[in-house]
Amino acid sequence: MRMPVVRTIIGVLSLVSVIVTVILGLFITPPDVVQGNLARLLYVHPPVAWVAYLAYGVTSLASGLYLWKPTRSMRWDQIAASSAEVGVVFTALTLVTGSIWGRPAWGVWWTWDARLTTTAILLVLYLGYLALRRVQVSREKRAKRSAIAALIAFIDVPIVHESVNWWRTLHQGATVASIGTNSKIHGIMAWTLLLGFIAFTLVYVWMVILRYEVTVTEDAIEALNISAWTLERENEIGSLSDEIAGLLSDNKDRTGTSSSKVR
Amino acid sequence: MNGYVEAGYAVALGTLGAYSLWLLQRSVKLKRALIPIKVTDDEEANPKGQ
Repeated sequence: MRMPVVRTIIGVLSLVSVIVTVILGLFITPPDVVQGNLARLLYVHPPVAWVAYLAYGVTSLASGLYLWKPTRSMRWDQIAASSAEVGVVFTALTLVTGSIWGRPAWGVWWTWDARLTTTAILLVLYLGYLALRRVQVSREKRAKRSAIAALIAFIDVPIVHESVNWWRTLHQGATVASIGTNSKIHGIMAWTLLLGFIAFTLVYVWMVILRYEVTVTEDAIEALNISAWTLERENEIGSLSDEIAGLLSDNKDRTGTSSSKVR
Repeated sequence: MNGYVEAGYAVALGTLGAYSLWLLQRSVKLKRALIPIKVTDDEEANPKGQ
Protein backbone atom coordinates (compact mmCIF):
# COMPACT_ATOMS: atom_id res chain seq x y z
CA MET A 1 0.00 0.00 0.00
CA ARG A 2 1.31 3.47 -0.86
CA MET A 3 2.26 5.90 1.93
CA PRO A 4 -0.37 8.62 1.13
CA VAL A 5 -3.11 5.93 1.25
CA VAL A 6 -1.88 4.66 4.64
CA ARG A 7 -1.65 8.26 5.87
CA THR A 8 -5.22 9.00 4.74
CA ILE A 9 -6.59 5.86 6.43
CA ILE A 10 -4.77 6.70 9.70
CA GLY A 11 -5.96 10.31 9.38
CA VAL A 12 -9.61 9.29 9.08
CA LEU A 13 -9.29 6.79 11.95
CA SER A 14 -7.64 9.36 14.20
CA LEU A 15 -10.26 12.00 13.42
CA VAL A 16 -13.13 9.60 14.16
CA SER A 17 -11.53 8.34 17.38
CA VAL A 18 -10.82 11.89 18.62
CA ILE A 19 -14.43 12.92 17.91
CA VAL A 20 -15.75 9.85 19.80
CA THR A 21 -13.36 10.55 22.71
CA VAL A 22 -14.58 14.16 22.93
CA ILE A 23 -18.25 13.13 22.84
CA LEU A 24 -17.70 10.44 25.49
CA GLY A 25 -15.45 12.66 27.59
CA LEU A 26 -17.65 15.74 27.57
CA PHE A 27 -21.19 14.37 27.42
CA ILE A 28 -21.48 10.65 28.11
CA THR A 29 -19.16 9.84 31.03
CA PRO A 30 -20.44 10.70 34.51
CA PRO A 31 -18.72 13.35 36.66
CA ASP A 32 -16.17 12.06 39.16
CA VAL A 33 -17.18 11.66 42.83
CA VAL A 34 -14.29 13.82 44.06
CA GLN A 35 -13.34 16.05 41.12
CA GLY A 36 -16.76 16.44 39.53
CA ASN A 37 -16.65 17.62 35.90
CA LEU A 38 -12.99 18.55 36.17
CA ALA A 39 -12.13 14.86 35.78
CA ARG A 40 -13.21 15.16 32.12
CA LEU A 41 -9.90 16.89 31.41
CA LEU A 42 -8.16 13.64 32.31
CA TYR A 43 -9.40 12.02 29.10
CA VAL A 44 -7.07 14.43 27.30
CA HIS A 45 -4.16 15.25 29.62
CA PRO A 46 -2.63 11.76 30.29
CA PRO A 47 -3.02 10.60 26.61
CA VAL A 48 -1.30 13.78 25.39
CA ALA A 49 1.52 13.25 27.93
CA TRP A 50 1.87 9.61 26.80
CA VAL A 51 2.23 10.72 23.17
CA ALA A 52 5.02 13.12 24.18
CA TYR A 53 6.92 10.20 25.76
CA LEU A 54 6.25 8.07 22.70
CA ALA A 55 7.45 10.79 20.33
CA TYR A 56 10.74 11.22 22.18
CA GLY A 57 11.15 7.43 22.36
CA VAL A 58 10.82 7.23 18.58
CA THR A 59 13.22 10.18 18.16
CA SER A 60 15.82 8.45 20.36
CA LEU A 61 15.41 5.11 18.60
CA ALA A 62 15.77 6.71 15.16
CA SER A 63 18.74 8.76 16.39
CA GLY A 64 20.43 5.62 17.73
CA LEU A 65 19.84 3.87 14.39
CA TYR A 66 21.39 6.85 12.60
CA LEU A 67 24.46 6.84 14.83
CA TRP A 68 24.95 3.09 14.48
CA LYS A 69 27.04 2.69 11.33
CA PRO A 70 25.40 -0.49 9.90
CA THR A 71 21.96 1.21 9.87
CA ARG A 72 23.09 4.79 9.14
CA SER A 73 20.68 6.49 6.76
CA MET A 74 19.34 10.03 6.39
CA ARG A 75 15.88 8.48 6.66
CA TRP A 76 16.44 7.86 10.42
CA ASP A 77 17.50 11.45 10.89
CA GLN A 78 14.37 12.66 9.10
CA ILE A 79 12.14 10.39 11.22
CA ALA A 80 13.86 11.61 14.42
CA ALA A 81 13.32 15.25 13.45
CA SER A 82 9.67 14.70 12.50
CA SER A 83 8.87 12.85 15.71
CA ALA A 84 10.66 15.44 17.87
CA GLU A 85 8.67 18.32 16.38
CA VAL A 86 5.37 16.53 16.97
CA GLY A 87 6.62 15.62 20.46
CA VAL A 88 7.22 19.29 21.24
CA VAL A 89 3.61 20.13 20.27
CA PHE A 90 2.31 17.37 22.56
CA THR A 91 4.63 18.36 25.45
CA ALA A 92 3.40 21.96 25.24
CA LEU A 93 -0.18 20.63 25.27
CA THR A 94 0.64 18.46 28.31
CA LEU A 95 1.80 21.52 30.21
CA VAL A 96 -1.13 23.70 29.14
CA THR A 97 -3.88 21.13 29.77
CA GLY A 98 -2.23 20.26 33.10
CA SER A 99 -2.14 23.91 34.04
CA ILE A 100 -5.83 24.37 33.15
CA TRP A 101 -6.65 21.37 35.34
CA GLY A 102 -4.33 22.59 38.12
CA ARG A 103 -5.94 26.03 38.52
CA PRO A 104 -9.29 24.78 39.92
CA ALA A 105 -7.81 21.61 41.50
CA TRP A 106 -4.71 23.05 43.22
CA GLY A 107 -5.57 26.74 43.15
CA VAL A 108 -2.55 27.69 41.01
CA TRP A 109 -1.79 27.74 37.29
CA TRP A 110 1.80 26.70 37.92
CA THR A 111 3.91 25.40 40.76
CA TRP A 112 7.54 24.27 40.82
CA ASP A 113 6.49 20.71 41.47
CA ALA A 114 8.94 17.97 40.38
CA ARG A 115 6.67 16.55 37.62
CA LEU A 116 5.84 19.98 36.20
CA THR A 117 9.42 21.24 36.37
CA THR A 118 10.95 18.17 34.74
CA THR A 119 8.28 18.32 31.99
CA ALA A 120 9.09 21.98 31.37
CA ILE A 121 12.79 21.05 31.17
CA LEU A 122 11.85 18.32 28.67
CA LEU A 123 10.11 20.90 26.48
CA VAL A 124 13.11 23.23 26.61
CA LEU A 125 15.52 20.36 25.81
CA TYR A 126 13.62 19.37 22.66
CA LEU A 127 13.14 22.99 21.62
CA GLY A 128 16.93 23.15 21.84
CA TYR A 129 17.12 20.02 19.70
CA LEU A 130 14.94 21.68 17.04
CA ALA A 131 17.04 24.86 17.24
CA LEU A 132 20.20 22.79 16.78
CA ARG A 133 18.73 21.38 13.58
CA ARG A 134 18.42 24.92 12.17
CA VAL A 135 22.18 25.54 12.41
CA GLN A 136 23.60 25.88 8.90
CA VAL A 137 26.06 23.00 8.54
CA SER A 138 26.27 20.02 6.20
CA ARG A 139 23.40 17.52 6.39
CA GLU A 140 25.67 14.79 7.76
CA LYS A 141 27.10 16.97 10.49
CA ARG A 142 23.63 18.22 11.43
CA ALA A 143 22.27 14.67 11.60
CA LYS A 144 25.12 13.47 13.81
CA ARG A 145 24.96 16.41 16.22
CA SER A 146 21.15 16.19 16.44
CA ALA A 147 21.22 12.44 17.08
CA ILE A 148 23.63 12.89 20.00
CA ALA A 149 21.54 15.78 21.38
CA ALA A 150 18.35 13.69 21.10
CA LEU A 151 19.89 10.84 23.06
CA ILE A 152 21.08 13.21 25.79
CA ALA A 153 17.67 14.92 25.99
CA PHE A 154 15.91 11.56 26.33
CA ILE A 155 17.55 11.07 29.74
CA ASP A 156 14.87 13.45 31.08
CA VAL A 157 11.97 11.20 29.99
CA PRO A 158 12.39 8.51 32.70
CA ILE A 159 13.11 11.31 35.20
CA VAL A 160 9.75 12.94 34.30
CA HIS A 161 7.98 9.59 34.63
CA GLU A 162 9.57 8.66 37.94
CA SER A 163 9.49 12.18 39.43
CA VAL A 164 6.22 11.43 41.26
CA ASN A 165 7.89 8.45 42.97
CA TRP A 166 11.32 9.97 43.61
CA TRP A 167 10.15 13.25 45.11
CA ARG A 168 7.25 14.35 47.29
CA THR A 169 5.12 16.12 44.69
CA LEU A 170 1.77 17.79 44.32
CA HIS A 171 1.16 15.86 41.14
CA GLN A 172 -0.60 12.57 41.69
CA GLY A 173 1.20 9.26 41.21
CA ALA A 174 0.58 6.67 38.50
CA THR A 175 -3.10 5.81 38.20
CA VAL A 176 -3.40 4.69 34.61
CA ALA A 177 -0.44 2.29 34.83
CA SER A 178 -2.35 0.29 37.42
CA ILE A 179 -5.23 -0.56 35.06
CA GLY A 180 -5.66 -4.32 34.87
CA THR A 181 -3.94 -5.01 38.16
CA ASN A 182 -5.32 -2.67 40.77
CA SER A 183 -7.36 -0.27 38.69
CA LYS A 184 -8.59 2.92 40.28
CA ILE A 185 -10.75 3.79 37.27
CA HIS A 186 -13.55 1.65 35.98
CA GLY A 187 -16.50 1.36 33.64
CA ILE A 188 -17.06 3.86 30.86
CA MET A 189 -14.48 6.23 32.36
CA ALA A 190 -11.70 3.67 31.88
CA TRP A 191 -12.84 2.88 28.33
CA THR A 192 -12.99 6.56 27.43
CA LEU A 193 -9.50 7.06 28.78
CA LEU A 194 -8.27 4.04 26.82
CA LEU A 195 -9.92 5.40 23.67
CA GLY A 196 -8.22 8.74 24.35
CA PHE A 197 -4.85 7.01 24.42
CA ILE A 198 -5.59 5.24 21.11
CA ALA A 199 -6.99 8.39 19.47
CA PHE A 200 -4.06 10.64 20.33
CA THR A 201 -1.56 7.90 19.41
CA LEU A 202 -3.24 7.70 15.97
CA VAL A 203 -3.06 11.49 15.68
CA TYR A 204 0.66 11.27 16.49
CA VAL A 205 1.27 8.57 13.84
CA TRP A 206 -0.62 10.61 11.22
CA MET A 207 1.30 13.78 12.08
CA VAL A 208 4.69 12.06 12.02
CA ILE A 209 4.00 10.51 8.59
CA LEU A 210 2.95 13.90 7.21
CA ARG A 211 5.87 15.73 8.88
CA TYR A 212 8.26 13.09 7.53
CA GLU A 213 6.96 13.63 3.98
CA VAL A 214 7.38 17.38 4.40
CA THR A 215 10.94 16.93 5.76
CA VAL A 216 11.91 14.68 2.84
CA THR A 217 10.57 17.27 0.35
CA GLU A 218 12.32 20.12 2.20
CA ASP A 219 15.62 18.22 2.09
CA ALA A 220 15.14 17.50 -1.63
CA ILE A 221 14.53 21.21 -2.32
CA GLU A 222 17.55 22.14 -0.21
CA ALA A 223 19.69 19.68 -2.19
CA LEU A 224 18.32 21.08 -5.47
CA ASN A 225 19.11 24.62 -4.41
CA ILE A 226 22.63 23.62 -3.46
CA SER A 227 23.19 21.83 -6.76
CA ALA A 228 21.74 24.80 -8.69
CA TRP A 229 24.05 27.12 -6.74
CA THR A 230 27.06 24.86 -7.37
CA LEU A 231 26.23 24.72 -11.08
CA GLU A 232 25.97 28.50 -11.21
CA ARG A 233 29.37 28.90 -9.49
CA GLU A 234 30.91 26.27 -11.79
CA ASN A 235 29.61 28.13 -14.83
CA GLU A 236 30.98 31.39 -13.45
CA ILE A 237 34.37 29.77 -12.83
CA GLY A 238 34.22 28.19 -16.30
CA SER A 239 33.53 31.50 -18.04
CA LEU A 240 36.20 33.22 -15.94
CA SER A 241 38.83 30.62 -16.85
CA ASP A 242 37.84 30.94 -20.55
CA GLU A 243 38.26 34.69 -20.26
CA ILE A 244 41.66 34.31 -18.58
CA ALA A 245 42.75 31.75 -21.21
CA GLY A 246 41.65 34.18 -23.96
CA LEU A 247 43.55 37.07 -22.37
CA LEU A 248 46.64 34.90 -21.95
CA SER A 249 46.60 33.78 -25.61
CA ASP A 250 46.08 37.41 -26.77
CA ASN A 251 49.00 38.47 -24.66
CA LYS A 252 51.12 35.61 -26.04
CA ASP A 253 50.26 36.60 -29.63
CA ARG A 254 51.16 40.22 -28.94
CA THR A 255 54.46 39.27 -27.29
CA GLY A 256 55.25 36.90 -30.17
CA THR A 257 54.62 39.65 -32.75
CA SER A 258 56.67 42.23 -30.88
CA SER A 259 59.57 39.83 -30.33
CA SER A 260 59.64 38.96 -34.09
CA LYS A 261 59.70 42.68 -34.82
CA VAL A 262 62.70 43.12 -32.50
CA ARG A 263 64.49 40.26 -34.25
CA MET B 1 -19.31 22.27 33.44
CA ASN B 2 -17.00 24.93 34.83
CA GLY B 3 -15.29 26.54 31.86
CA TYR B 4 -11.91 24.97 32.62
CA VAL B 5 -12.94 21.68 31.00
CA GLU B 6 -14.14 23.40 27.84
CA ALA B 7 -10.99 25.52 27.75
CA GLY B 8 -8.78 22.43 28.09
CA TYR B 9 -10.54 20.63 25.24
CA ALA B 10 -10.52 23.77 23.09
CA VAL B 11 -6.77 24.32 23.60
CA ALA B 12 -5.92 20.69 22.86
CA LEU B 13 -8.12 20.36 19.79
CA GLY B 14 -7.35 23.87 18.55
CA THR B 15 -3.59 23.39 18.78
CA LEU B 16 -3.63 19.98 17.12
CA GLY B 17 -6.00 21.26 14.42
CA ALA B 18 -3.86 24.32 13.72
CA TYR B 19 -0.66 22.26 13.57
CA SER B 20 -2.34 19.73 11.24
CA LEU B 21 -3.53 22.50 8.92
CA TRP B 22 -0.04 24.05 8.87
CA LEU B 23 1.48 20.65 8.01
CA LEU B 24 -1.07 19.99 5.24
CA GLN B 25 -0.60 23.46 3.76
CA ARG B 26 3.21 23.12 3.84
CA SER B 27 3.01 19.65 2.29
CA VAL B 28 0.87 20.92 -0.62
CA LYS B 29 3.08 24.00 -1.17
CA LEU B 30 6.30 21.97 -1.21
CA LYS B 31 4.86 19.34 -3.54
CA ARG B 32 3.82 22.11 -5.94
CA ALA B 33 7.34 23.54 -5.77
CA LEU B 34 8.76 20.23 -6.95
CA ILE B 35 6.41 19.67 -9.92
CA PRO B 36 8.64 19.43 -13.00
CA ILE B 37 7.82 22.06 -15.63
CA LYS B 38 8.79 22.02 -19.28
CA VAL B 39 11.62 24.46 -19.94
CA THR B 40 12.36 25.48 -23.51
CA ASP B 41 15.92 26.25 -24.44
CA ASP B 42 16.55 30.00 -24.64
CA GLU B 43 18.27 29.69 -28.02
CA GLU B 44 15.41 27.62 -29.39
CA ALA B 45 12.66 29.90 -28.06
CA ASN B 46 14.44 33.11 -28.85
CA PRO B 47 16.83 32.76 -31.83
CA LYS B 48 19.86 35.03 -32.03
CA GLY B 49 19.08 38.62 -32.75
CA GLN B 50 15.32 38.20 -32.25
